[in-house]
Amino acid sequence: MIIAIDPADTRPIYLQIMDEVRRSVVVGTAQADEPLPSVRQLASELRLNPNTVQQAYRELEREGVVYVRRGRGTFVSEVETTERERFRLAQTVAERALRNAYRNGLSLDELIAAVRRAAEEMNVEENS
Amino acid sequence: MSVNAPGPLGWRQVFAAQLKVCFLRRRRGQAIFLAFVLAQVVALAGFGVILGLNISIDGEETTVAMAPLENLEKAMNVSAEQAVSGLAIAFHIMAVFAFFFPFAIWSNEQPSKRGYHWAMPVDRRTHDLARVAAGVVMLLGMLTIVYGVSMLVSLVSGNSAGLGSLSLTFWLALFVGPLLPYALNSVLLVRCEHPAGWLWGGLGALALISTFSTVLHVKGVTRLIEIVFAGSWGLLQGIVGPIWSEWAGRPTTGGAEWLGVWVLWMALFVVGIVVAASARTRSR
Amino acid sequence: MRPQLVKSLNGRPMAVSTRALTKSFGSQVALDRVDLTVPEGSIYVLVGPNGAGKSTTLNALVDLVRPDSGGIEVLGRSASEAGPAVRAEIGYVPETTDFGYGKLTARELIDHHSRYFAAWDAAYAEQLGADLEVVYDKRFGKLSKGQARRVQLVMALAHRPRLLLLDEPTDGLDPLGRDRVLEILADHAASSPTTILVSTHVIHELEGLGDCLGALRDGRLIAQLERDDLGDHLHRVRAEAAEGWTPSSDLVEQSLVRKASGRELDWVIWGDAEALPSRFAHEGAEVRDVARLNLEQATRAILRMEVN
Repeated sequence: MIIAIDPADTRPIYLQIMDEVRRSVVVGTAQADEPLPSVRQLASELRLNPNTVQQAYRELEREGVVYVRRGRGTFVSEVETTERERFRLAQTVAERALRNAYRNGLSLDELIAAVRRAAEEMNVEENS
Repeated sequence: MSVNAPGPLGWRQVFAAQLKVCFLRRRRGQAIFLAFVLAQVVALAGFGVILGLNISIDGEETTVAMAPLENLEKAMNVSAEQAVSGLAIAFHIMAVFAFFFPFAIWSNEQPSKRGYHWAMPVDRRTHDLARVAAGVVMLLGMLTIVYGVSMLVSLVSGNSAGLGSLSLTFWLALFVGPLLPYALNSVLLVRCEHPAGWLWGGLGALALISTFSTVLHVKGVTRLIEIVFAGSWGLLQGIVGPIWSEWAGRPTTGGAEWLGVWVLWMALFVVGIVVAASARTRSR
Repeated sequence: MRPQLVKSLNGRPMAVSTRALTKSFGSQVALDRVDLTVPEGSIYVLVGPNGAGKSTTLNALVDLVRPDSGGIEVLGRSASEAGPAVRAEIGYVPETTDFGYGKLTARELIDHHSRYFAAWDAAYAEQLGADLEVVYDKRFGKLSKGQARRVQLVMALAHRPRLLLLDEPTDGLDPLGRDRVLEILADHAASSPTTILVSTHVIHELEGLGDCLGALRDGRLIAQLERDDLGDHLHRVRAEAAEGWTPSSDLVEQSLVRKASGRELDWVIWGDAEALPSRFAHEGAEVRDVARLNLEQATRAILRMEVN
């Protein structure tokens, strides 16, 4: 699994890490029981504070997305949670879009209509 | 490889580290020193050869540059003490060198640039003193080499006759005499941002005071300066006492009395160095 | 009510704690009653304009400079009384690379340095040297600033000190080198229990690493807070209001930076993201966006704010 952080994103980094892990689970690039990079590995790779990575892993464990085996590391949980994770992910994407819309002075209806139009142009089918 | 618990450093290790680093910091100095020793060999060998031919010398010197001594000619003609001369001349050169040596020890590390040295896990004063002590050891080492070479050459060229007649204090003075100028200048180098400035300033002040008091006929001040520096318990005596009395035939302090003079001045300078190392000023 | 930006970060053991630290050089006030608190295990980013007192602060922590008044506690002990013992557990990279040891090669300098630290880990030193691409056999005085910095970093990190004091650690390094240093610092923080206090101008580099921010200006600590606290409460608000809109003094006091152009407002203000839109609405301005700030943006806002 590849975890990347967007430097332009001002959300707390531990949340970004959590989202990345969830994304991998939902999209399918992370298998059940797959190991996550160690705290040390991820911290050095992404030039992050190890406490931040630690916090992300802790929260993920609390939510059941991952589980921890003492001395062996952190692993992805059974992927039955996909359903829940998809829901969460959708929420995050929607919130971001709505905020953006509001900042640009658009209403909810305008946004939905625009999304549909864009989907058409990009040939993305509904219910796909 | 095991790793130990952290903690401040013991003085032995500090001293050893300072000795090594002083050595490493003066690479070019080492080369110059070696060149000097070589020159010394050549000069002495040449000296011995000339005298071996029984040609009397008129006070012409072929040894390395030094301050001329009025009694040198006398010394040359006195006896077959060329070996002793070799030692004595080397002594004078080294005594002057010893005075300037602290500049080498503390190069580029005047107090405003001594941050690295002082940021080490060693008490500041102890660390500075360790550096001074390392300089002493280096100086003694150099003296040993120079005198050793001198005696060796003298032995080889068959001019060692006079060496046996030298007193213990002479030998002692050869080694500890130069330590006085070293210690004196160390006080300045440890404490001052611009030691050369203080040096010249001090000399200038002395000269000024001396001149003024002479002009104004205030005998006391000039006399005082004379006593302090050249009197029988003066600084000069502490440095050269036995050397000048036995080699140059001057009526200078020798023997046990000289030792007392030396100890007095050394104690004074040591106190000065410790005080200098304890100071915390704006740039320290 | 002015926002209190200087927090004492209590509740955890402190690696560094100064009380009303004051220092002047002649008539120049370098530090003015600074209450710095650096929690153990944190990566504390110290920012401020040139001459703000950052280097003086670091120097005071290693007892190179004695304060005129105020107390300094480092790793639980007095910086001046227990100086040597404390410094044995500190890795210090000063701003300068010129400290009179130019004739030694890098290898000799590192060797000399290693003798002073009982906890020196030679294997780690070697690894760091390789990772940082240290040029060992060149005279230290002949190295470029970046190359010299690399050597200094090996010297500071190799004995795994409990406290790292880094004054512009990436100064002189090329982009790859800077990135490598950050990688090494992250790895070091993850593998050795340590507190890192970094003084820097290049804040964006530390976006990932920093978890506390301290800002000095003219010798005074004008801000000190945890990253999360900062992120949760310091916001950039873009709003719309009628021309000639005058905010209440309360609202102005909460703000750090205010920009207005025509109907548009662009403020940096302290407050909860949920509460801000209604506060502005209450005064007749419509909030379009409330955005969190990253460390760099927050620093700029803090250093720009008016402080009395």
